[in-house]
Amino acid sequence: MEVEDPSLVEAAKAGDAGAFKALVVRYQRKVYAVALGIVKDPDLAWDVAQEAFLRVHRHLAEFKGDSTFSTWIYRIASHLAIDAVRKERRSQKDDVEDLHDVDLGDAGEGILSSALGQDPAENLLRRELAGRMEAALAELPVIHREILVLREVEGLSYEELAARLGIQKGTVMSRLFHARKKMQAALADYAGLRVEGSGGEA
Amino acid sequence: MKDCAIYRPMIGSQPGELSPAEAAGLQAHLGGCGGCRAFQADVLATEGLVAQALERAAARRDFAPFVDGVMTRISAARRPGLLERLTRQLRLHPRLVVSGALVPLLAAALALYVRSNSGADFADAHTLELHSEGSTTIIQSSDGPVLLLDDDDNGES
Repeated sequence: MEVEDPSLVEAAKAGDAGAFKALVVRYQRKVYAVALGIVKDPDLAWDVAQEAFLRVHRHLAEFKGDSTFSTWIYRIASHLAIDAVRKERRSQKDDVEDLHDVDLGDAGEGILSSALGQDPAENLLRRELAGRMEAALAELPVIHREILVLREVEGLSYEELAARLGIQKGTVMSRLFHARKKMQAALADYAGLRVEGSGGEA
Repeated sequence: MKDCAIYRPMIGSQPGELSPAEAAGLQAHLGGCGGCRAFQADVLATEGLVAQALERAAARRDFAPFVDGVMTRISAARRPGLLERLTRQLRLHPRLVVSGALVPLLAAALALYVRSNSGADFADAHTLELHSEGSTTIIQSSDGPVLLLDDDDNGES
């Protein structure tokens, strides 16, 4: 039977290295995934994920269990990942909130949902798109990658996103919208579902 | 278009994230806007794809060395400083540490002693006077005469 997180955390707090290792093994892939989504470089994501566990170990005694262990470790990982790309952000033009680069009226809405059909969860195209998503995500500006990962992988609410990123709720919604539009456009392009106005056929 | 700019960013919200007024406005807008309904359908259709893609990327990677890497970094981060290590050793092996500490102290004291004595020898060298009387050599030092007898005399006396 699998030992629950709180028991492992308590054992790790008491100095049980085996318990801490069990926590690492349990969450390593998800933590790496969170980091990868934000930093996009696999080696940097690996380093960020290891550093996240290092921080957890250092501050384990301070963890009171107000949130779940998984929430705590994902939060640390995403913080570290955002810090890691901060320097990159400063040197990139994509830090600008590009509110006007998506044509609201002519961006091929519905193409993906039509192609994916009535049962997208079981759809072959969906699996193919998931395979393409990593590349699509990597094409996005870092501010869009991070908000998509925080929303869809960490599951943060608008309020939590606003607090985490230090922006207003309206900016959260706007940034998420643009991130989704760009991601959908990239996916549609990969899938050969050209968006209207982009020169291809729907 | 103006309403789309207002309401489209609200698409994809979870229950409770919009104010009642925002939620009502969005519903009313969706009822009359095919473009926004289509965007909503795309959001729903692609929901979870980001997490799925990243988990697939993580699944492709070999995580066998990950945990050891973490533990190594923890050990390295926890390596104590010199003072902490000495304090810890003092607690664990007080006699050994005191003995160990005495060795360099004794060595330093010996070096100082030798150096000061050799300095005195050099100083004394200027005041030494040598005289030979038969097989006996007399050295006049600042501490008085020193008689050096050769082996024959020494053997007879």
